[in-house]
Amino acid sequence: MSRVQLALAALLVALVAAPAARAQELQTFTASRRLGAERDLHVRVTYGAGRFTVGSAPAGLLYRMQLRYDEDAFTPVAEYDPGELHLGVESIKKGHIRMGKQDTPELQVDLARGVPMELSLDFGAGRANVDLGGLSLKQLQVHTGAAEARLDVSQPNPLGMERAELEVGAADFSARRLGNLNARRIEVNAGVGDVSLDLTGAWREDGAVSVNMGLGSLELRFPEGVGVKLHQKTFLTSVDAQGLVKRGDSYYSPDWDRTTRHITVDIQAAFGSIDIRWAP
Amino acid sequence: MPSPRKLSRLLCAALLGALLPAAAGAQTREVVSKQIGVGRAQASLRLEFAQGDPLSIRFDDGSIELNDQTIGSYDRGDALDTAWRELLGDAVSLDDGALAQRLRDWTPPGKVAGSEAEAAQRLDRALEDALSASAAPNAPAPPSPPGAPADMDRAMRALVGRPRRLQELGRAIEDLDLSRVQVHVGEDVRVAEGETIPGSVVVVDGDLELKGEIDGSVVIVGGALHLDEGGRVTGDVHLSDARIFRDGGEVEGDVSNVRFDRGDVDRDRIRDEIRRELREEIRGRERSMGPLGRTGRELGELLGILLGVIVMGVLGGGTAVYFAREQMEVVAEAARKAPLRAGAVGLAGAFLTLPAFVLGGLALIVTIVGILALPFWLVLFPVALCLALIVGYLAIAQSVGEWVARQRFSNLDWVRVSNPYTTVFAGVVALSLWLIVAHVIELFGFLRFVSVLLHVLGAILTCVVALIGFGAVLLTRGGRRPAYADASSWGDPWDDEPGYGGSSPSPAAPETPVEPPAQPAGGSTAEPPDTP
Repeated sequence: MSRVQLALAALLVALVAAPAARAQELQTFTASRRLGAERDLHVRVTYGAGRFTVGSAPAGLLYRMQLRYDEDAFTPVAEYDPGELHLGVESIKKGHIRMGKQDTPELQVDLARGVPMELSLDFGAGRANVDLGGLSLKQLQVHTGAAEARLDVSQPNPLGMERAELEVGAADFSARRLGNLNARRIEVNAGVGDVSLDLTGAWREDGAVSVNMGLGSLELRFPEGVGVKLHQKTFLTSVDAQGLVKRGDSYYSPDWDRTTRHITVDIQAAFGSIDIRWAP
Repeated sequence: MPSPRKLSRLLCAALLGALLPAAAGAQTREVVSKQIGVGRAQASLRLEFAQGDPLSIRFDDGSIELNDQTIGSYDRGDALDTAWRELLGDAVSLDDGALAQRLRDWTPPGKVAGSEAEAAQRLDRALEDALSASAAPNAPAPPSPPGAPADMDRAMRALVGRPRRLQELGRAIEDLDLSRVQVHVGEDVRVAEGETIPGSVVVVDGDLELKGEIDGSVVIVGGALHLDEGGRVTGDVHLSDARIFRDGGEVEGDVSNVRFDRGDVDRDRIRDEIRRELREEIRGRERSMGPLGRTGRELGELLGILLGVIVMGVLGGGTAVYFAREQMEVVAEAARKAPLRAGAVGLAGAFLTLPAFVLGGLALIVTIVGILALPFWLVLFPVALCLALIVGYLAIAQSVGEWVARQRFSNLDWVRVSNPYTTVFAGVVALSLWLIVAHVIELFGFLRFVSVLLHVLGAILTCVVALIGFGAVLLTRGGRRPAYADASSWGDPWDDEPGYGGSSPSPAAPETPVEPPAQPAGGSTAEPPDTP
C-alpha cells in the first residue's frame, strides 16, 4: 500500500472514529491505602483494555490506584482483605470495549516496596508498562493478551523467588533486566508475536529460563560474565546463536566453565526466529 | 534537649505518616484507605479508618447516599454537586492528616435549596463526626513524644496546618534514606567550615548555609541553599519552592526541582508520556525500518512497479494492439498532431464525466423506458471511461515507443516501429521510467530529494499523458473517426511542429520497413530502418 493510500486510509479511519472518541466519557477512580503491618500479601491486578502501568508506591502507602474507565462497560475493583489485595476492573458488559486516541482508558497501580507479595498481573489488550523494580516479590505471574507490553525490573528484588511465569498471547512483549527478579526459574509461554527477553540484572544464583513460543521472533539478551547454556527444540525456526558454541545438543557461552553464575535456557519454538544478543 | 538523631527520627516518622495523624490526632482521625470515584453521574468517596466503621458518601445521578442510605437529592451541576466534586478533586491528591483536615474543613455552599440544604448539613456533620478523633472507638491517646521541645511542637503544628507544604515535603523526601536524616522546620541552618554532618538534612521554611560538608542529601522546602566556598553535598539536592545559590561549593549528586503544582505534575506526566510514546514510536520505526528493512521494502516496491509496468505494457498494450490497433493509431495520431487540443479536451472531459454520468442516468430514469437501460448505463459508462483512459494512455505510450525506436538506442533494437507490440511496451516503460528511477534512488538511501522530485514530476507527466490520451480518444470518437486526427481542420498552432510520425493523414502506420529519409530526423517521414 502506498503512502498516499495509507494516509487516505488513516484519514478515513480518523473521520469514522472521531465521533465515537468524542462520545466516550471516562470515569475516574482513585484509591489508596496506608501501609499497615502487612507481612505477606497476595496482589491480583486485572485489567481489560487500555493503558496499563505498574510501579512502586510512595513511602507510607500500601498501594495507589488511578483508573480511568468506561463506566458502561466496567466497574472498578479495589478490594483489600488482610493478606489479599485485588485491584483493577471487572467487566459488566461484554463486547463493549471502546478505545479512542483522545480518551484512552488507563489504569495505573503503584505498590508498596517493602511488603513481601505474590503478584499476579492479568492484562488484556492495549499497552502495558510494568516496572517491578524494588518490589519485594515472592512470586510473579504476568498474563497478557493482545498487547504491547513492556516489563522492566529496574531494581533488584530483595526477596528470592522460586518461579516467575510470563504468559504472552498475541503480543509485542519485551522484558528488561529479568535477572533482577532474583528468580530461580522463569517460564515464558508466548503465542504469536515479538518477544524480547533481556536477562541482564543482578543474578544472585543460577537461573533456569524456559521459553515456549509459537509463532514469532524471540530475542534473548544475556549479560556478559554469566555462563549461558542454551538448549533448543525448534521447528522451522532460524537461530542466530551469536557468541555461543555448540557442544553436543546445546549451545554454551565460551566462559561457561569459568563463570560463577549460570543461566540455563530451554527453548521450544516453531515458525519464527531466535536471536541471541549480549549486553556489556 | 534531645539529640539531633532523636529529633530527626521523630520528625521523619511524623512526616511519613506516623506523626502526622498523631500530631493531628487531637483534631482528626486516622484515615487508612480512601476511594474516590468521579464520573458523569457519580461522585463518591469511601474512607476506611484504623478503627471503626468506614464512611461512604455517594452522589449518584441526583441522589445523595450516606453509608448506603439515601439522605436527599441534588440537581446535577448545582452548587452542592459542584462543591462536592471540588472537594473530591482536592482529596485525590491528599493523604493522611491533610486529607482528614481538608474533609473536616469542608462546608457546604450556602446557596442550596431547603431540602438539599438539610442533606448538605448531614453530610457536613457526617464528615465532621467520622473524622474527629473522638469518633474512633477505644482510640488510643495520641503518642506524645517524651521530652519533645516546645519549639519542635510548634513547628510540627505549623506543618500540620499546612497540608500543601507537607505534600511538597513528602514528594521531596521520597527517595531519601530516612535512617540518617536531620530535619529543621522554620529555622535557618548553618554548617560551618570544617564541620561534617553525617546523613541527610531536610530544611523546611528555612535557609541552609553550607560551608562544611553534608555526607548525604539535602532537601530544602520553602527556603534557599547557600552553597559557599568549601561547601559540599555528597548526595543529591532536592528543592521544592526553593532556590540554590552556588558560590564555589559542589554537589556530587543531582540537583532537582521538585514541583508540587498539580498542573505542573499533569503537564510533566503528559510530556513524559508524549516523549515515551515518541521514543517508542521512533524505536519501533527504527526497528522495523532498519537499513535492511528499508532496502527490502524499497526493493519490494520496485519489483511491484516493474511487475505493474510489465503487466501494463505486455498484457494491456498487447491486448489493446491486438484488438484495436487501428483505433489506437488514430488516437495516437490525433495526440501527436494536436497535443494541446487533445489535452484541453481531455481536461474538459474529465470535469464533465461525472455530470454526464449523472445526467445520463437521470435522463434514462425520466424517459421511464430508459429505466431498463439504467443498469447497463451504470456499469458500462465507468467501464467505457476506464477503457478510454487506458487506450489513450497506451496510444501515447505507443507514440513514445516509436520515438524510442527511432533513436536507435543500443540494446533497444528490438523496439521496432513496424511492431506496435514492442513500441507500446517500450513506451509504457519510458513513461514509467521516472518511477523506477525514483525507487532505485530510494533503494540506495540517499538523494531522497531527487526521488521526491521525480515522484512529483512523474505524477504530473502521467496526468498530462492520461489527459492528452483521453482527449484524443474523445476527439477521434474512440479512434473511429480518423478525420478528427487531422489537425489542419482545427487550425492547431502545433501544426507547424512536425510530429514523431510525420504529417501523414493516414491513421495506420506502415507495417513494412521503410528506408530512412535523407532529411533530418523529425521530418514528416522520419521512419527508422526496421531490421526484421
